Amino acid sequence: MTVAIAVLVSAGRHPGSGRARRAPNDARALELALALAGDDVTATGVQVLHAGDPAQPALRAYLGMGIPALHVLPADADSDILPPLLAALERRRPQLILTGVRSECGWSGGCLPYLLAESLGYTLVSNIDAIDMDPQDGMAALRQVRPRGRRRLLRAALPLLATVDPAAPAPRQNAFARARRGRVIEEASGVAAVAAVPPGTVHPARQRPRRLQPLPAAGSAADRLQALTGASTGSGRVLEAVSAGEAAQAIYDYLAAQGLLAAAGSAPGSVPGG
Amino acid sequence: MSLPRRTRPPRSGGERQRRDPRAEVHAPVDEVVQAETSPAVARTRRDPRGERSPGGGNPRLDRARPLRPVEETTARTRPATPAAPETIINENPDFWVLAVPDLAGGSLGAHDRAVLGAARLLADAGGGAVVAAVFTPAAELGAAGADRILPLECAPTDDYAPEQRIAALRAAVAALAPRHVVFPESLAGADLGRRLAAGLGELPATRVQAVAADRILSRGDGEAVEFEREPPRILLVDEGAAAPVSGRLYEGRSLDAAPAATCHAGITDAGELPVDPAAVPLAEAELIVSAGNGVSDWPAFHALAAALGASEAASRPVCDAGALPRERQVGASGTLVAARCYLALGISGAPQHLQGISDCEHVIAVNLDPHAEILKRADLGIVADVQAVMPALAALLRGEKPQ
Repeated sequence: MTVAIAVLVSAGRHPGSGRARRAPNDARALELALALAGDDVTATGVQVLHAGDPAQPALRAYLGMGIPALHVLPADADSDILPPLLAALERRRPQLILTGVRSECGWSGGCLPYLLAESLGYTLVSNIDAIDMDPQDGMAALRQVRPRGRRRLLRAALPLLATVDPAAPAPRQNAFARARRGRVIEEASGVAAVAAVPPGTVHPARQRPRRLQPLPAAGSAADRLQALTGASTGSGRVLEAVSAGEAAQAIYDYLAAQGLLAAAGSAPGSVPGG
Repeated sequence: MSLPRRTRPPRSGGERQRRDPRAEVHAPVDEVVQAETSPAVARTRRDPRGERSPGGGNPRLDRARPLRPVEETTARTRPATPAAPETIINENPDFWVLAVPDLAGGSLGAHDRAVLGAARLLADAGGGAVVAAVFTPAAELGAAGADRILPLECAPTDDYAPEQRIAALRAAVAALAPRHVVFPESLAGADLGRRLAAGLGELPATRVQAVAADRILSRGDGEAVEFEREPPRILLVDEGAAAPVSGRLYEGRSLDAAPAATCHAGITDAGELPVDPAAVPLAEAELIVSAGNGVSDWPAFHALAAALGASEAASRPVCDAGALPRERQVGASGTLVAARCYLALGISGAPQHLQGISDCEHVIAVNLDPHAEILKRADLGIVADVQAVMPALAALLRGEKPQ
């Protein structure tokens, strides 16, 4: 397969310990790219790009996943990474760009893929967890993550930028020797650095209590207590002294009335695993 | 030791007439002088015992009569339900606030209500009005806070068609020039909102945690910091960012549907893939079959879950015994589930378990004990042996006649 792939990775930070690490979401994007490229990673054009500090040791974890080199566009911590990334991608024009949904540090607003796709004129598909390519007709088949464990199959034209969901397959471990052996290539971006202004005054984050349901204005004390505690009592009927067949029929009718048997209609044995 | 009693010094001039203040209060003014001279005035006194029991006798020993008079209980009925709130009509607003709810499945979810609540806060700060831009028709938008409803024509209604939707939204933004556009920070809304912001060249506020009229708080730097600022043009709000509108009814008048905007669609939707219930995390599962201590026929349980296409779960004793893995445990020390339907088999309903299923929409319970707590929580409770019900239901689902 000869599709040029670019993977954009960021330096992550462990939420508990605060230590620098590879960002798990970006590592998943790299994992999808490596799976797409097959075993001969060096032969294909999987290019891994990072804008930031080239001396960041956490970047070596991406090299440890089996790529020969990591291209770093030097950027200060308080400068905008959009112009250098855009310039580097304009030079390469890869057929496919993969990245995580949002970075683990920095603003982490998740807007960078959208700004890149808008500027490059690429099609953007968000929150995918699997991808397959057909370079003959210039289309990619993508599996998109939806709520409640559902998945959707999409087809999109190349060139394409896709963000990889945290529900994608877990990335491979990084190997220490490969991480040592891999090269970090500093690449002059060729554009002037633009300072990034934080969007507003910065405070340390505070955990907010869960918002309670609004209390009913009227009603008894029992109603208000129930609204507060959320322990709703069922409004249902209780069947006693019924045979197993009647009980099964009652459950079947209830599920059918709620429209929950449509999902059960498809044979569960035919569901592809994973 | 005792102190000498203080005595009033004797007045000069001999004995004095004493006043009777009580008689002065009750007697007419001209009789006061007479009352002073004759203090024995006859007053009618109450007879509490006579009032309490006109028939005589001690009322505490009379058990035949009801303790409380009948007319007193009828007076303590509940007050009538309050009348429906009057519709709030905003005819000439100063500006518009566009809210774009997800409307997953065509119904207004909790996150959508929070979006409309946040839009309401931003609109009420300066005499604006809320327009709900919808791609699928939905009810109750007026009660959720929408002054107007803008139906957007978009060819595939439930498919993933972000390019068409953005084209329709950009036409709406150009027509109404809203001061703010509010999206939910959900899977679909997060995608749509960032696309619109990138297209318009705006910097949106993402992961907004709290919305007030003039300040918003949004998360950044992973989960480490909060940015406080004035609300920008495009906001993507979390579910807890604003309280949903309650107790008020807005007009919810439909505006004319905007004509369908044409655009180049690079993405085609090839449809939903079948869900593998075993791979779905329990917190996200839609239909759950849960086993308690009453289940002993495990092959029948697994067969029923497979026939239903449901995710398997269990109570704590079952996971303690090792019949199902720990990540399948429901309850206070396991997973808090929010399934659309929860089928509890052989579960008695310990408080810790009921806590774990408090967000479930429908609960069906089968238990041998007619006094089990889960039957009080259940929407459909059945007192029967689960070992017999499980194969009967599985046979019914496979299309066989029950025995």
